[in-house]
Amino acid sequence: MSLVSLCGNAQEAIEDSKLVYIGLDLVKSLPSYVFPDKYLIRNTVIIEPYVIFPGKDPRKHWVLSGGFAQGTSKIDTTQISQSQKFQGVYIKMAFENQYKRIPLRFGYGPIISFSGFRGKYTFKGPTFGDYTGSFTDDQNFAFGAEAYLAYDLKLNKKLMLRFQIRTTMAVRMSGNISPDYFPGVGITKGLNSFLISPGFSTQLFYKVH
Amino acid sequence: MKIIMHIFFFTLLLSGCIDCGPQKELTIRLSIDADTFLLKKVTAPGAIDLSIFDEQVKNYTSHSYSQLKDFTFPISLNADSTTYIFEFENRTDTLTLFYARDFSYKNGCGFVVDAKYPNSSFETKSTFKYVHVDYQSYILDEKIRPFGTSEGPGISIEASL
Repeated sequence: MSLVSLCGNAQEAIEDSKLVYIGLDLVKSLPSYVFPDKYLIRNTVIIEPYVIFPGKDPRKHWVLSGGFAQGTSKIDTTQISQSQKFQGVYIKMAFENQYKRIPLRFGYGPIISFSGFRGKYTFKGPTFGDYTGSFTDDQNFAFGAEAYLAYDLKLNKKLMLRFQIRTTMAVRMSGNISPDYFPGVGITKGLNSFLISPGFSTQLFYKVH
Repeated sequence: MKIIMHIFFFTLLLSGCIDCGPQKELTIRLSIDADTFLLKKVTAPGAIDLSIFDEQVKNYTSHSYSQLKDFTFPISLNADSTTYIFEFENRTDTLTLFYARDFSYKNGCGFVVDAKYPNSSFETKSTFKYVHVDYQSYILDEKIRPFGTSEGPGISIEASL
């Protein structure tokens, strides 16, 4: 009996793998609204849609994704530049593998991001008063790669939740101000030309016929 | 293993660090050859807090036996000139220093501030008989060797009545 059901599940899994899923990230911007003073970014909009396409091999898929992020980094009063505004768009692609024995999917692929940063900096002037200047670092281009592990949880026939841990690495080709958050890459405070950032996220997928 | 430790130590010693400069309100070094005149007060128009001037004048009067006096005075980051008014016992002198502020971003430091040779045609305007200004950067371009100078010398002034 159990053997039959197992075969049934496997068959279903393979059937499913021939379908297209569209999805949206649910988590990335959430903590910036729930804990705006504590989290590393504040009131940040991150819209990240996904499409999973079936590959020729039923255990291989490919994922196309893009994103838009706009927000502000955490205020750090000990710094000369206490906070940054950022805005950016990015495109990601991933080759995804499904495994027989492990209920996880492993994906990896390229990412490109175009982003810009703005902010103010203040030099304390106890005698003559503070000096505040502003900066704009509008044309940043970075490219790199993202690798992730995903666990898919079916909610019903149409909906699926995906829990994902990822690491994103990118090389910044232009721009000079060290970004607190680089759209598409993640939290990059203190980093400059080589960016690396790990993360956890959850996406909701809808099965498309 | 010992050799590796030695190589590591020497690499660290030779690599040095980046000079970020003061990253705060800049100061100038001022030497006044005041002879027998007694300095009573220093003020600066536009200053919101004169305590740094008061403190140094207090030290000056308590050691008035020496002829040449060294002060460390802040310059305004909100203008390209700063004026100091020196009230001596029986005369008052003014000194206006001109400079060009330079705010920039330096890798490994963040935002840095420097003051350079002024864009105007004069370095100072003063009632002192003799004034000489030496403009040096506050930020060293080359890497600093450990045990060496820690930062750029900045602006220094010599003046005499």
